[in-house]
Amino acid sequence: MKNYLKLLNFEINRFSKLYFLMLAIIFSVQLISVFYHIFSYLAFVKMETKGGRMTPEQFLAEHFPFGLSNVFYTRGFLIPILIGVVGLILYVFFIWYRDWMARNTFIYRLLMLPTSRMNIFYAKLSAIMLFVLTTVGIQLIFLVLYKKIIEWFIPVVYRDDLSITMAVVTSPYLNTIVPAHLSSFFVAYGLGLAAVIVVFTAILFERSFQLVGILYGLLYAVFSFVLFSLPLVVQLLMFETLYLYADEMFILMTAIVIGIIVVSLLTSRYLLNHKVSV
Amino acid sequence: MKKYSKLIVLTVVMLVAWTVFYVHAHQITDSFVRFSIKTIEGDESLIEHVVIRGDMSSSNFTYEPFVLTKDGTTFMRETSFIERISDYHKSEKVKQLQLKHRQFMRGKNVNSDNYATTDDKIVYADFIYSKFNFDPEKVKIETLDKNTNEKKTAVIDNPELNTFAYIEKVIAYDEGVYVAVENYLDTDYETDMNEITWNIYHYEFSRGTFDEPIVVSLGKIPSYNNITQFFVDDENDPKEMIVLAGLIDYAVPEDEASGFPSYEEEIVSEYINLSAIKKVDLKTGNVTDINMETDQNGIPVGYNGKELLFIERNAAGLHYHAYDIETKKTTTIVSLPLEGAIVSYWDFSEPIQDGRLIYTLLNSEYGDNKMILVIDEKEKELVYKGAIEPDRLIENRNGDEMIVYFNEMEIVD
Amino acid sequence: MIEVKNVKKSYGRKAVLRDISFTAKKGEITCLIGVNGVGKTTILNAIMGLTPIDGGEILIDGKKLTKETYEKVAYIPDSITMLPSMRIKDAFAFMNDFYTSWNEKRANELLTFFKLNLEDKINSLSKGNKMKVNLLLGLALDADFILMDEPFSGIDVFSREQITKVFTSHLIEDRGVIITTHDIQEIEHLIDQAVILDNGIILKSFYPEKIREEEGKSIIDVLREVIDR
Repeated sequence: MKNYLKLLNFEINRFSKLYFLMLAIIFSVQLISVFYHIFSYLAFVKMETKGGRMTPEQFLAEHFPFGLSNVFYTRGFLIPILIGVVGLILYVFFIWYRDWMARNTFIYRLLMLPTSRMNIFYAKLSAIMLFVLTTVGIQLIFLVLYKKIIEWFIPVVYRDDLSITMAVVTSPYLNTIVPAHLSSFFVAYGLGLAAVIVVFTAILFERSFQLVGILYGLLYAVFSFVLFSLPLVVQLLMFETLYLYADEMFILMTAIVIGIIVVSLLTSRYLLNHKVSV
Repeated sequence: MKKYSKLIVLTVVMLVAWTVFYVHAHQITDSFVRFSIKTIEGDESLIEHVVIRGDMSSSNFTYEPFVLTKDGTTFMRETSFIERISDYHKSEKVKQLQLKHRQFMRGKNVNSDNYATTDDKIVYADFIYSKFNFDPEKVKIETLDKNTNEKKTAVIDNPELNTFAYIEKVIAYDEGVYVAVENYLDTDYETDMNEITWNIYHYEFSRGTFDEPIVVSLGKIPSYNNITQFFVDDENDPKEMIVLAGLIDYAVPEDEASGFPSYEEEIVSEYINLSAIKKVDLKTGNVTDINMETDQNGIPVGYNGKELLFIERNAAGLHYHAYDIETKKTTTIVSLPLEGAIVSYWDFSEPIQDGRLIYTLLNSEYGDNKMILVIDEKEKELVYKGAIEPDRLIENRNGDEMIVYFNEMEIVD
Repeated sequence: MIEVKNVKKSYGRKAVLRDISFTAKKGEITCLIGVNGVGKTTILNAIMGLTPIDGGEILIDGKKLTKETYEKVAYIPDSITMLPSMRIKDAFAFMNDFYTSWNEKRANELLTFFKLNLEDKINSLSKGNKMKVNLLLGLALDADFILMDEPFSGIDVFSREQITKVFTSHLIEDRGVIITTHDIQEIEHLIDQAVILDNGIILKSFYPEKIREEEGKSIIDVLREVIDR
């Protein structure tokens, strides 16, 4: 446990510079976008209501008030999120390959640590989950800032004071990274965790068997995905109506996911201890 | 400790942000308007088994389904994960059947129209399709004896149904089952008219065979704004059925300037045009036309073996009428003033007949006239009147109107 | 004692180690000699569990490799095992964090000996100095065995001298050492046991001192003999 924490801390520190740079890019682009849309809206209001041409009520009868939701659907808001998503997906691969691919071979040191090699695996896995959850968490915190900025600049009469929680749970985009219910959160991020574990196992296959390992890794990932979706596919192809009840389906799929996780961890442990090569 | 500072900071930020979010998300329904059924007059126990399904929406808040019972409102997001992922919108009747008869209900359609229950039987009817064919190849009836758990299946081989055929009602009584299927024969796209028949299949438990289906032709009816209804005189001992077709039409002429009447003008000018009313004698299979010699009709809501029941809506209010098929006379059961509210026929187009009681959910989109009305057609009186009331003013934030619909009512056993 | 028994290893169809057996004892310097590509590094990697073997067995003090082995056996590969972005002090902290056998005092002693600075960043060091840091990280562990892969490869003559001095110092003392080299001259006089490898097999394993006394031959003479054969 102590070594796991040390390794996790090491992974966090190692990626922190790049990570903070990524955060800086994501949130500065979003901030700029928020300001841009606020000022565009204000300019539009000014133009429409110039010289008493329209009262605020008349304006609002034709146009939407300005609120967090207006920001959510802009490119300046979504593209940075996409950058974060892509960045963290690349990190899933980078977190392993950089230890082999760098000019200096840090993997020698990692594999020679007097601790279980699975601690390396768990540390890398936790680092990814921590970065993902923190990024989304920081996004939630920044929403508070954006809401405040909107309140500072947009007069109350033109403002849609939708609460942050409400804005998030009703936005189809944000809803995918911030599920509206805690139970959905565990399901979504649990699946994400399982997916990362499967990808890690696939990477270890490649690191263990080189060229043919790529094939093994791909087959393993595809097999896991097929196994996971099998109940749904069978249900859709073989029956006109749903044969299994939702709770049964959920239990079955949860069991499959847990099975995939356990098999992946055992396989990874075997590969790390017996097959992986510097 | 300093060495771990980044790890600690990231973990704390993550935990705080997510925890605060989920604490708020958990309380989000506190800000929603909740509805309750407030009894204005009549016996409150009559609505004990009423379940109303509705949803709220606004430009931001796209969709928030809820269920309203006498105990109040439950929003979908307040239910468990399993409930949310299972078919949240399926009827209470099917939910209860699934709960009590899990194995029998496995893999079956969740449309409540496909089921009928008696004291000791559950009857399920559905179509069987062959591969690469959209027309139903067979009609299947599955019966479960609740006492012995014995399951029986019967099949009609050539139901002669077209692609667009729907099981509208299954009626199970002690000796057998009737399955009423609405069958679209043909659509004339030029005139936008559908040719419809109702095919009624009868299966007798003791004989274990199907009779020849009774085919009731309703002729051609427009594709839009149509109503087709099916009533039986007594669900426990059916002898006669009524099948009818009609149209909710508009009397208002097009305004030359704007081209279209306003929505309000349209609603005020609505009237019911019944194009076919057929009475079916279930013993003989004879089908007779009923010609109503009155324009005092309305939305058909039931049949008691003697009278057809209607709800009419006019400037004076809502009126429940009974039309005697023999004497061709109309008597008014109840009249309710609407206090100036605009109510469309579409707002109560699907009343429920539960024995001698007829439940109407009045769901006016305009104003606050959201009501449940129950009449006893035998006693010919209003036995319950309740208003659906919000617990606070529905808050419309700047330019964002919150719309609440009560889509569907159900009476649960 | 490190026992390498009938070890086999292939990369695809290419057999790198065919049937390798030798024993390295504590207090002795065992040198694996052979031209580049004969599998010397593979043997060291295999001992450390960094390259899986296809057959045979490797025992360290009679036991198979476990995570505790890494406290007992220090491996110094031919390239540095720390992150280039680290300062030497970070590398020290890292070692101190994970290894109970890390000897900070000896590490500082070696630092002075090699004339290195704690604040130096690894990627700013010359190749020779990087090798010294690598050596330092291995030697500073209170390990029973030290495995060194080509410690003299591609470094300047002064660094070579400095590194050679280590072998005769108290830093090695009674530890067991396995060293690989393709260039024997530098350390010939230090070697207790020589293992000559070629084409995945051991051509000859012998004690140079004994051969020198009995037959008057140097390691290079023996090397010539076995390779010519």
